[in-house]
Amino acid sequence: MPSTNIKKQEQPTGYKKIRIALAGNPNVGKSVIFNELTGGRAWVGNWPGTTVEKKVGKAKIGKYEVEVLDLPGIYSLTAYSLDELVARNGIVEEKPDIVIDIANAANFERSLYLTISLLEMGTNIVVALNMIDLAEAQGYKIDAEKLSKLLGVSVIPTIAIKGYGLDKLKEAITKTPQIKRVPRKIVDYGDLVETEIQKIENLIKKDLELSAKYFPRWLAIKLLEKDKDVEEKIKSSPLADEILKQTQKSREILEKKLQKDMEEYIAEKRYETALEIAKKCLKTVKIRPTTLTDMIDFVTTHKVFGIPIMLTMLYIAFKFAFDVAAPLCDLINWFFGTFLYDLIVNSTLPPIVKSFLGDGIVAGVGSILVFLPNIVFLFLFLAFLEDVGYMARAAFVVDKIMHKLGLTGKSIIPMILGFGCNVPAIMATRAIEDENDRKVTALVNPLMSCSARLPVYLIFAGAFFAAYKGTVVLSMYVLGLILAIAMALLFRKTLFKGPSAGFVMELPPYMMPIIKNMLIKTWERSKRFLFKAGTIILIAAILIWILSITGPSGYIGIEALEDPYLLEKSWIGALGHFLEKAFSPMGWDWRAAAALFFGFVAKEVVVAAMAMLYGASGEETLPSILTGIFTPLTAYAYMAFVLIYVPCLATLASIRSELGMKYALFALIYEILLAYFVALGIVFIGHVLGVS
Amino acid sequence: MRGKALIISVATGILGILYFIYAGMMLYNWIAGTFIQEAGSVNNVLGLFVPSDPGCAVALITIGMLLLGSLYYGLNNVKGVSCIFLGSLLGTAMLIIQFLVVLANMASIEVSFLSGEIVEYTVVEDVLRPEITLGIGSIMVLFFSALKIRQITGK
Repeated sequence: MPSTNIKKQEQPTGYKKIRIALAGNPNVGKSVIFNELTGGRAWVGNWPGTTVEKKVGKAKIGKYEVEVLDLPGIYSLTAYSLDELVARNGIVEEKPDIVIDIANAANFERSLYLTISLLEMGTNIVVALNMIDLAEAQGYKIDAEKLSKLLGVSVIPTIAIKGYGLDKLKEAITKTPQIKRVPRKIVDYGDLVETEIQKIENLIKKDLELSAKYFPRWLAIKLLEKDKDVEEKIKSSPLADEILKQTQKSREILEKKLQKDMEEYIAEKRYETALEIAKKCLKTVKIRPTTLTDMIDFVTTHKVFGIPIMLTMLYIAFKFAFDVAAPLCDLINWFFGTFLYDLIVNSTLPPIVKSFLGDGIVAGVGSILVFLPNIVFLFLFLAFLEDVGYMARAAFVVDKIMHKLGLTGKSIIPMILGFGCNVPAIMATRAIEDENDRKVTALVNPLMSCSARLPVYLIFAGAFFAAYKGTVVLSMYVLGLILAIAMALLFRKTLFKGPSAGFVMELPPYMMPIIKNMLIKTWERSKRFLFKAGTIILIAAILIWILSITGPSGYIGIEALEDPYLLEKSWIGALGHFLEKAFSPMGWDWRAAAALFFGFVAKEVVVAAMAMLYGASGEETLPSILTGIFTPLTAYAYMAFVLIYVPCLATLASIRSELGMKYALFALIYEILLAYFVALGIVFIGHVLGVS
Repeated sequence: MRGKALIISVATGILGILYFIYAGMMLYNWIAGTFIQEAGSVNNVLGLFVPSDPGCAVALITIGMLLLGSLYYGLNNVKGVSCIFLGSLLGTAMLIIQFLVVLANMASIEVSFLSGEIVEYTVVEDVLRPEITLGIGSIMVLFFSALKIRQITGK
């Protein structure tokens, strides 16, 4: 049988090489098991949709060298969304030797549906019955042995986050490749349907290449379900016409006789089988008590309390990130701004080298690294909220609003991911089935405030709103969310008309967070910031330094960095003065305008550029200089502009790769215009209200 | 037993109202400071330590709402206990964060010595903020709600 082919290769080390794939419903603990098996650092989150692409890791289990594929969470093996397709192809095309089906014991019947679908594919599976502790807390027990007999595969009870059962799972992995599984009918679709399945199957079997590649019965069932992806696979067969014609005929006969859509009928039969098996294996040990999760959910998802609680959580997150991290920021600031800068200035190096190192690199990169503690603390708190299970509730309450506006709730997960970085968030839109919904979500995603914008907010919030800087920064996040929803609504009503797909959001139980997972997540997210500081921001800082000491007339000299008159004659001066006209209604000078230009590369560069252009160094810190240039109102408008205007290059590239060049250009233009009008609006309203 | 429940209800009610009052003063301070330059802040009027922080005001209103919401549902009701638990939990979280802020501010003073700066810091201003003064009340209520939750969930 094709799916039970075991590709074992003798390695010089004596290890046999096998491949396993981890499949399961969203938020079932696949990534936890992946990390436990491989010692890897896959993203683990207590909310659905954490894995959007398959990930690969290596492990040595017994005498096997194992390649482990972590697949996106799916409920079925249909191919409606990209993540389902990625998961299915990970199994069908890459043909792992074993599929570890991670079933949620706390949501047993629904997990069984996927298990049954996997068995129908003819895959060699091991079931990891995860979260058995939660199932018991809900008042029932699952007889794993009985389940194993009914399914004909190994079933291992596990509690992945506690490491329980993982040794047995590894043991089962080492035994399974030796078992030559004989695919069998796990679901009986009834004589009528089975006859038609057999007819299609017999035709498929005639194409030896096709039937060697895919399990023929599975192909036949999928064809009856009108699976587009499988139809495409069939088209490559020389018998394609015959097979598709027979499928069409069979489907017509069946739909006429059964008076039901075949896709619906097949899904129903699978569910019936899942319920039947579940009934035989489930044992209710006590009446389901009210749990702490039920009690907390009553409040966190409440129609009145839900949103205020979310805002309070975010307020606490920002207070923690900014006020508690402050001494570490001060320490880094002292290191770069005083210690390192003085060291360079007092050295015997030639003046131009001193300026390059001090005014260019230290002022540029140092001004960004000052915010590293803020970013680490913020990510740590967000990781805590994710792992506790609160982020799923936050998504749920925002989804309620989006649903009322006719937008898909599936957008909310990529939008919340956008708070970290817009690039993976745009990739996460692949989980959205409806093409219009997907495009709209990707186009508005850059409005979600990513961590790159934080340094800009912090500089201005610290300088102008010190008493409540956490609140001011929070307001930027809320503004971004409101604008994203408003723009999505506008796009949906104008450019991408049509109904939005429905969305079922699974709320995971609240859990005690695992410190290790939180730290891994925090490090993975913060690492991007550090990497950018050492690459893009460093290059941008050098470029800005060069453009500041040279101009249309040639080399001006390093004095330009301290002499505003000379700086105006530099390339940066020329650029700034060119842009200044457009920004003068907002009250921003040419240096602020020039800094925005460089923010196109990465938003953090705005701060680095400002530090150089305003000559921030030593005791003259950037916030203290800015208080003489901006007013609180113009500063707030500047922060809003930075939030909204052009996404960084990486985000634009991500939109281009997901949606195409046309949409990347569209995102670029609409965001510049939106940023301009929002900033202008803030200044105008502020003046009307007498805030100047 | 009934008397104890009454005392907790009254204490929760008072605490909830206090959260609202402080939130109102914070908002007043913020509006006065931002939009009406001529108006004096509550600090000057009442001599209380009320910062002008609209975000904090929203958090205090949320906690006040939850505490008063628990009285609406009743403390013998699962919904009421859920509200009092979440409200007091958030109140306690705000207290802990404010304590961390106090520690961070003290550490910042130490850092500023490195660069030869002399910065004055009055701990009292940070310690007497409503997050701490009301937070102490929240801890007591949290203790009660935790006991109630144990009764309901059996854990």
